[in-house]
Amino acid sequence: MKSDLWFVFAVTAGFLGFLMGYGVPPMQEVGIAAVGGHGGAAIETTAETDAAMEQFRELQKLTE
Amino acid sequence: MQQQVASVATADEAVAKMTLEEEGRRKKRLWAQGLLGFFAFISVGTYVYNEYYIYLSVYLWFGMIYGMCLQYGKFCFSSAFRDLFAIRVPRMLVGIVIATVLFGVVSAPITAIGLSTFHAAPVSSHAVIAGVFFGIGMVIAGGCASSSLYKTGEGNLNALIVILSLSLTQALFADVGGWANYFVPEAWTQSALEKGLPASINVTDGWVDQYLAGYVWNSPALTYAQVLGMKTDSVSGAFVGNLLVGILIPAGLLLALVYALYWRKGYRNKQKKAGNVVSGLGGELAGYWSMIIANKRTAIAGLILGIACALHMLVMQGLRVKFGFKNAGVLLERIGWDYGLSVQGTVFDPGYWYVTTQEAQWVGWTLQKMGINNMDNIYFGFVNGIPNPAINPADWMSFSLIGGAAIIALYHDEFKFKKPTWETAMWSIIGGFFMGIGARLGLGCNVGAFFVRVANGDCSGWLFGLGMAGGAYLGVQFFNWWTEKKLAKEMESCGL
Repeated sequence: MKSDLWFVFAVTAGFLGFLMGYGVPPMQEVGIAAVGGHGGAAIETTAETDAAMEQFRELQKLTE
Repeated sequence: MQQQVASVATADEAVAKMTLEEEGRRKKRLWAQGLLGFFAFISVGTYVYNEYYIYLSVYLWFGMIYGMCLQYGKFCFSSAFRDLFAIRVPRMLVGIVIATVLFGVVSAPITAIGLSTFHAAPVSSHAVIAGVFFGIGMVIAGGCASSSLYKTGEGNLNALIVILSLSLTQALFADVGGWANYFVPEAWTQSALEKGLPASINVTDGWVDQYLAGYVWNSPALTYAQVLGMKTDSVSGAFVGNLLVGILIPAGLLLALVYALYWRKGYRNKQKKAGNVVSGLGGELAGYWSMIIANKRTAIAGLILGIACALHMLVMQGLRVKFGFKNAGVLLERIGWDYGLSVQGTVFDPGYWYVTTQEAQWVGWTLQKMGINNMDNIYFGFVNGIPNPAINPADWMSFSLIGGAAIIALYHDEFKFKKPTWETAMWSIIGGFFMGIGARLGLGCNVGAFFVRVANGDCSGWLFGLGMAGGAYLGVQFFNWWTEKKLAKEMESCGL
């Protein structure tokens, strides 16, 4: 029975792993600061944040 | 000879019983695997149909984790306070406080780098009053908002009634106007009018609308970091302001109070019986530690919950960047489900664990479909919308939470349909009603208004908790009075 339960955990972890792999890299591409974070000292301006978000929106439009 | 025959027959019966039990367990495991397969099918199928559905799948799989943890840890705020006040056992409460601290520890780095999706709520005495309503309700109902979900997953139909009552109350309370407007102070009405809300909201008609726009929104939304003059999304703000001052110190003091009032005496008696002498600070600290580790199961569940909650926020933020939106309303519009979006084009999309609003939306959507306008209030019409429950992102989390709890319950042979009696159903309805009122007044339940807020350094979290404890105390006193009255009546009827 216990091995069965590990199968449940493995499937759940597999899906979560896939979702994390799907969701986290876009943030790495634009940089943490660009999505509102403060990973670096010189990347806190609103203009840069908006520009990065805008760039992503434009890319999104192209792929729609 | 006869004895031998009898013992063989008994052994055969025992073997048959064991085989039946094993067959029952095998069937339950199959059901659990079927549920897992169903959720996997939904995720894969919708992703193949349209990539955007992956956003909803994030809610689904994290909801599953929440359900598994809640069921494993028997994470119930109602039990925590009831056990404490009724039988002086603090185990569950300590487990919940430890879980909240662990969630805070995991959230702090996410907040420090600015990736938290959490937003602080307005701080004022309304949080305490809301907590009192909620606390009374959860003790009467026999379960809080989150435990009612996992208990539903265990087959407890009383818990399902609590959820239905809580959902219906919220939806009706959020829209109540007419006669209720007479109970709105003039200052709230004037202040609500000054907010310039869209005409479709009709802000002067609705008690909750004027309460929100005329009173709650005027209160500051503060974190402990902000109170101390720090930026919330900075290392000092997240770790010193929110985690140390907002969580670790108050939680430590609360646990010290619980130790002094509910644990110390029993611990000292136990040690005395074992021949050990408890003296000095070292002895007290050993007793304090024994209380902390008394409920490992809830603490382990809390740790996993904390990690899951933090990862949930991270993944949601990542997908919002990937798809280029800040609210799932945009996503629903893109995939062609634009019914029930708020006047701002938004839907309820917290980005983290939440319980009550999506439940209210089920009822809001149903009432709207029945021709009762539910979009002329702030709660649904201006902020959260009432999308179809089948594609409501947060609903995917609640459904899978029930599913996750069911899977663990089935595996541990703890799944059993429990039918309500008329009396338990009545308590479930009344408790759900009080919790519904409390959840709307406090803008959340024991999860959204306490667990998540405290762990993220929101000043209103402990205020709601304070009210919840007071309400639970009143609820326990009421139940004691009721039980005594009932017993006296029964004894009288028996002529005793």
